Amino acid sequence: MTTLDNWLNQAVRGLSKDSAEIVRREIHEHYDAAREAALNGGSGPDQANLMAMKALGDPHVANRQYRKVLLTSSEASVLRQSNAESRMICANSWVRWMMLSTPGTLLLCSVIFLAMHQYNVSRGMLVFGALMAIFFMPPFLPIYTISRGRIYRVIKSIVLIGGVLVLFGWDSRIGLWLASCSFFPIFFNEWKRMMIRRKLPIAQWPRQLYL
Amino acid sequence: MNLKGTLPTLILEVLAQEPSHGYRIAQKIKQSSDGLLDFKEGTLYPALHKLENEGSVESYEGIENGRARRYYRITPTGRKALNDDRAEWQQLSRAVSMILGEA
Repeated sequence: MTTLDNWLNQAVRGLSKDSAEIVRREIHEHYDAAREAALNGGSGPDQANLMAMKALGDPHVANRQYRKVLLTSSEASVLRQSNAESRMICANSWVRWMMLSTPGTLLLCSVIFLAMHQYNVSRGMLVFGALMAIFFMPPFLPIYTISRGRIYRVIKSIVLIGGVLVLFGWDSRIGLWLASCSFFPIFFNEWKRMMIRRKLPIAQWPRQLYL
Repeated sequence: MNLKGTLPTLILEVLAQEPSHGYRIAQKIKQSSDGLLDFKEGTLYPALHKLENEGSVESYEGIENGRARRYYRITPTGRKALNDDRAEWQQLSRAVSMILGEA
């Protein structure tokens, strides 16, 4: 394995397959140009290789910087996974029907239980219905601009915090911990999506990144 | 000399003159500063990707000496960012010069 390959292997560690391919191509191009310039400047082949490698610097530093701007393998996997979820929800008509009707049904039941003075059941159904609505209905809503996406994300945060407040009342601090632990995969995905939004140009955003 | 944080501005300055590829951008920065601003070229591309993500530069495939190269050119957003950075740098430079001049 050449020294350049070693350098590249360290520089692309943790990056997604596509990102790693981009890095390999651009560094190869750069290395060839630097080597050619050194050869034209009168250096021998070994000296030219050495100069081109030295100019690239520390691969670990490059890797840290690449991970800030290109998709990592875990981010690419989150993107793939949410693509698959969206396709699954939108492609099956019965899933779509269920996703659209359940929150409404739960909210209706919540009103019925409220009328029957069953406050705790009513509260639980209200929160559950609101959470279902906020998480499952967006694929069917016209959210495909940055401003609409921001509005949706603000509403989502308000519903999440409001849900905990409604469910736990004065014990919300404990409730927030419980919700954080229970919904950890959701929070993890949200955090990853936030990272992906920073890294992908808006023109390349898939629909679910707006959500 | 350490140019931490200023590399994106220097890249934009080079690209404001003409579209260029990574290697040439690196050489121009080094030559224009008489070799004072020396940086590791492996860190140039992350900075270029960041600028591309922000919409300050755009890339396209070009050919040089029969070889395919990725060229970068500045966008209107990038020109605006460059003007802002220039103004900020001049202010900072003036302030530091005033303090050092007095010392």
